[in-house]
Amino acid sequence: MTPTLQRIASLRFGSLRLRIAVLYAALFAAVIAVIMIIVGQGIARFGENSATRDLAANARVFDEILDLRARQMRGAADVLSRDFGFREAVATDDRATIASALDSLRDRSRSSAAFVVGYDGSIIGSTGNMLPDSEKLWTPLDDGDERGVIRLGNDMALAAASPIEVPDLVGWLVVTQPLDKVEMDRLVELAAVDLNAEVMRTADMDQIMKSAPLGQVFERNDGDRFLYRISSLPALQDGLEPLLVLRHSLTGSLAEYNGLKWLLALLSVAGLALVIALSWRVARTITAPLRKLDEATRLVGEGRQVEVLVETNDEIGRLAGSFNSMIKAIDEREKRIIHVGLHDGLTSLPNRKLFVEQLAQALARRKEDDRLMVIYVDLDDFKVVNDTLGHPAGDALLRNVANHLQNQLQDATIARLGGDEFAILIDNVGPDESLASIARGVQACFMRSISIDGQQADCSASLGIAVAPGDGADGNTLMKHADLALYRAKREGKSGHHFFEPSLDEQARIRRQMELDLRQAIREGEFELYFQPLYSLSEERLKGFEALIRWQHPQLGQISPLEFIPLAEETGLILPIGEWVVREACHQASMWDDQLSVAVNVSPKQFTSPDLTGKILQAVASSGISPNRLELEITESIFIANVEKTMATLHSLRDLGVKIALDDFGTGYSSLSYLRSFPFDKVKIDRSFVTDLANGGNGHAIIRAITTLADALGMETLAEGVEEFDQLDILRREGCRNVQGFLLSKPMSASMVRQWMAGDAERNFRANAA
Amino acid sequence: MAQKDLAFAPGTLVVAKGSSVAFPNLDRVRHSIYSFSKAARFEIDLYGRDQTRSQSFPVTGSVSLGCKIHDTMRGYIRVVDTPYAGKTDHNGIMSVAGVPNGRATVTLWHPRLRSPGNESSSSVTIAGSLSKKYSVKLK
Repeated sequence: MTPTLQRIASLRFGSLRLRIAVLYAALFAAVIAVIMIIVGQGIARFGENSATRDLAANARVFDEILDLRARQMRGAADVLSRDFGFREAVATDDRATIASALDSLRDRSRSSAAFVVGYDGSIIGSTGNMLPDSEKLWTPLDDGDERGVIRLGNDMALAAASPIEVPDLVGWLVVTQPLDKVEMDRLVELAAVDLNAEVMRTADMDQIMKSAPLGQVFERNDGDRFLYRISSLPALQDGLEPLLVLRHSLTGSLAEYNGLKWLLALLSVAGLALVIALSWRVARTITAPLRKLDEATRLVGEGRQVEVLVETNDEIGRLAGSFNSMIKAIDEREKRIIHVGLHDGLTSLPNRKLFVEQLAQALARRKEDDRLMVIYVDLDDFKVVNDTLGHPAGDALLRNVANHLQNQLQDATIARLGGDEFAILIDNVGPDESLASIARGVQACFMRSISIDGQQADCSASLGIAVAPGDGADGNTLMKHADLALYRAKREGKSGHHFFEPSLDEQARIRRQMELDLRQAIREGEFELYFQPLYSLSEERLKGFEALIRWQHPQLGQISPLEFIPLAEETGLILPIGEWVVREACHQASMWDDQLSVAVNVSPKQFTSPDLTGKILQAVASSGISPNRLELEITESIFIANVEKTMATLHSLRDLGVKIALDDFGTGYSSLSYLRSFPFDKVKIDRSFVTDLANGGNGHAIIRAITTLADALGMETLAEGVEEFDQLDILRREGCRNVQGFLLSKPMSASMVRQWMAGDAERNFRANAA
Repeated sequence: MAQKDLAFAPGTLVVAKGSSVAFPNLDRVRHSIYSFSKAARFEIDLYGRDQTRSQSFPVTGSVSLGCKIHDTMRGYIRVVDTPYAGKTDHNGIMSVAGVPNGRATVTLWHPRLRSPGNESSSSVTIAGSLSKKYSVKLK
């Protein structure tokens, strides 16, 4: 790229308007400059040509004038030369007469001088005049020349000759007129243009003029520009070679066109100014809408609502229209995105984020005495619906619930927080209104039967309620407290509601800490298994041990399983804990007598974990014990969720060869159908029945019924929590095969078990029993 | 020498010294005759038709005749004092008889002969008959 082009490329003004105006002006200025140069040259050439033509024409006129003048002189001379008296005077050489006649002629014809050249070479002139060299005149005269230039002294003169005949030629009468400056100037005045005329001898000229073509106009620069025309004049004298030099000032004649040039320049400047003004205006019509669009874009960038006025129907107008529709489209998309971002896709209810915002707004506008309720809702057993009827059914249920809520609680703000959790905001609750009745009303909204795909599902929900300002002034606190209340409500049983209490907060904190500690315990191996003996009444011998977990907390000391197992169950930590328990129990059992079995509790969550069978098999295999020495204790609750799946898992466990006991029999949902549906190896009678025995209740009847039933089904029975001899007696009498309890032994650590057995277990047991 | 049709007729005349020449006017217009020649200087005033004027020429030489009112009229008279003179014919040929032998001067004259006095002279030796050709320049 050449430097010039780089410069042009770098000519990037910040303003498009300036750029357009400057480029247009520059273009027009260039065009005008070219035109001015062409016109200027044209004018100069025209001036030169017309000056040349004028000079040529005037030169011809001048020739004519000179010729005419000579003719006049000749005419005057003729008058005298024909006069007989004069002729006689010449013929008789009467010089005085001749001279007087010549004087008379000179005055009459306004000539400068007159003389007679005799044929014999003599010459007689008018008085007081210089005479030419007659010898030089003789030949031209003799040749019959009648007019021409001669030299008188140092001056050139026009001469006309008239022959004097008496009747033969005896001489010539010559009349002269000076061609000096005064006379030439007088002649020049007759010409149409300003001329300078001079008659010169060739010999007096410089070289340039000598070599100039005769009869043609040529230019010579002597400081100023001059046009010259040189023509030869007839000579009446030998060797004179007179030339007429006409000079015309070209500079002067061109100067006449300067006015025209100035006018053109003025017009150009005016035109340029007009173009600059117009291109500025044109540029503005282009850039003004662009600037508006630029401004509008900036405002849109700042998030403001803008509409550009569509003023024209051209490209710019269309651009403005497109801009407007673009802004509208962006606006709509933005709203949609915001809606998506702030609403739940399934139910179209506000999501957590929007709920938080609305809660904050509601809190901000809450009046002094008014209260505000934040209700967290969790649908009871939604998981069951999902598991049994499928996720589409679950989604339909959620939509149904959401619609119903919106219809029922039109003044409330309802949000879906995720899963089966909803949040409800009820504000403007007056000081006189009953919070409990509002809670019941909300609860009632969930208590209904919903038909999904033709199947009826009973719906209910647990509610946690936090009330501003009492339970917190800000949204976060209120929501956290509502959540805690919900947690409590859930734990207290389903289909209930719970208001937040400050103690919940403390419990939650403890619970969170415990969860952290549990995780550490799993990592650090802070668990230990204790074993409680299981004694067979029928065989009067130790049958095995039930493995019970103990947690030795580094700071808090021993923590009861009652405290941490539910938490582990909720958080899913029960899975790694349970796995460890099975492995450790099998490992300990491998060090015992082959006749002794080990019983391990399997929690519902653990039971439904997909690889339970694999884990059990692994534990048994790695410990090397016979599978039938491992006894898995499960509770009835596993039947609630998915009976078919539960049965499949039970059968696959049975196929491993492990024994399966039904724990806590007689509590909860206790249904005899469970006993029928699966052949448990053992039924563990809940301790509450055993405790009853000592109080003289009808516990022994129930125990008898259970043992009878178990015997009939071929299942063993075991009574838990045997603490007194009376209880043992009754159990023995009622046909219970096995017992477990403090009466026999407390749970012991693994090392104590080994000591205990080494010290004759039978004896120890009997000593205890006795 | 007559004046006829605004011209002298004949235009050139050779006469002996002392001869008188008559100038009859045969034109219908009047003529005058003048001469400023050294050989014969005279003026004859206007005279009319069928009138005659005479003039004697006692001096040898060339005489140029003109008419005052008709500038174009020219007449030439050569006054000689020798019998051996004559005018050539239109072919420029002239013969003179009886010229004695011996040296002689031949003078050629023509009104427009390019030489002083319009004449040129040369010597010849005549022995019997002589034929000689002369060339002259005319104006």
